[in-house]
Amino acid sequence: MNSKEINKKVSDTFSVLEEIKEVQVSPFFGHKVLQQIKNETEEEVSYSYFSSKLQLAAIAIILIVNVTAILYAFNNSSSTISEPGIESFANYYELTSSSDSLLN
Amino acid sequence: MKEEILIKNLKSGSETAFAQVLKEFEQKVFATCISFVPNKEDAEDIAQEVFLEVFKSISKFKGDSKLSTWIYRITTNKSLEFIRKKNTKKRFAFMQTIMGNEIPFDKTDYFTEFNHPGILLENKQKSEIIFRAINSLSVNQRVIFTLAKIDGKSYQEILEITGKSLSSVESLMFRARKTLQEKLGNFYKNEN
Repeated sequence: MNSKEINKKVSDTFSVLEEIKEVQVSPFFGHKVLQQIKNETEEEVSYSYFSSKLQLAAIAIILIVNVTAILYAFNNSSSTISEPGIESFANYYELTSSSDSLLN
Repeated sequence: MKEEILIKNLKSGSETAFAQVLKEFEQKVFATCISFVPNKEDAEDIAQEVFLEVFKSISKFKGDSKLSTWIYRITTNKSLEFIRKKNTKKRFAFMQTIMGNEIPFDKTDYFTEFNHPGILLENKQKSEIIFRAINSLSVNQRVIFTLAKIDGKSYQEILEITGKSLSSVESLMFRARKTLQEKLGNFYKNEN
């Protein structure tokens, strides 16, 4: 293909841009946009129900429950650490003075 | 004055005002989107994003330009954003073309499936070739060329949308055309 033919092809390629016809947007386009905006607006409204006061109240309740649980667990654990428990632990791992030792 | 009232109503969240803007601009925005992205479905998705952005950002509109200019600016940016996200092999194709190699015909390297109902069937192949070539231009050249030659905007409108000077627009247009001629010339030369 000589340069004249190539230039003609290039020129023909450019000219297709002049022949592009207008494309109509879908008839339901506007409706889709309005619906999407409505959906996004409703989402924002639902998030606003959980207002800052409610958020603070929720955090306070969670903190109180956690602190109560920790205190309860702590109080209960101190009463369950009893002699029989320690003794059985020591016996199990042969930590008592009556157990045989390699050093003896 | 009419536009000022419209903008004021838009900022106050008037649904009627927004519906009016939608009705006035939906075709124009879509036309600009499909100029950048020659796929009807993708162009409609982008146009939808544009109007969502208009709705969300109208409070930030300072009124230092016409409302239409602002909307077209959002349209151009959204179109470019779409192309940027989808154009995974752009750099490879660009390098191919500046080395004088053919523009790859592999459809997977183009950022969208070519589906432009406004293009005649007999022109489809040539249209694909030139749209691929346009996609390989620099962003500025691509914007100016697309707005002027495909979207049919006047130089005055392009100045307002891009914020560039007339000499910049003319220079970019000249360089875009020259680059495209070179790329297409190389493509047809290598095609043989």
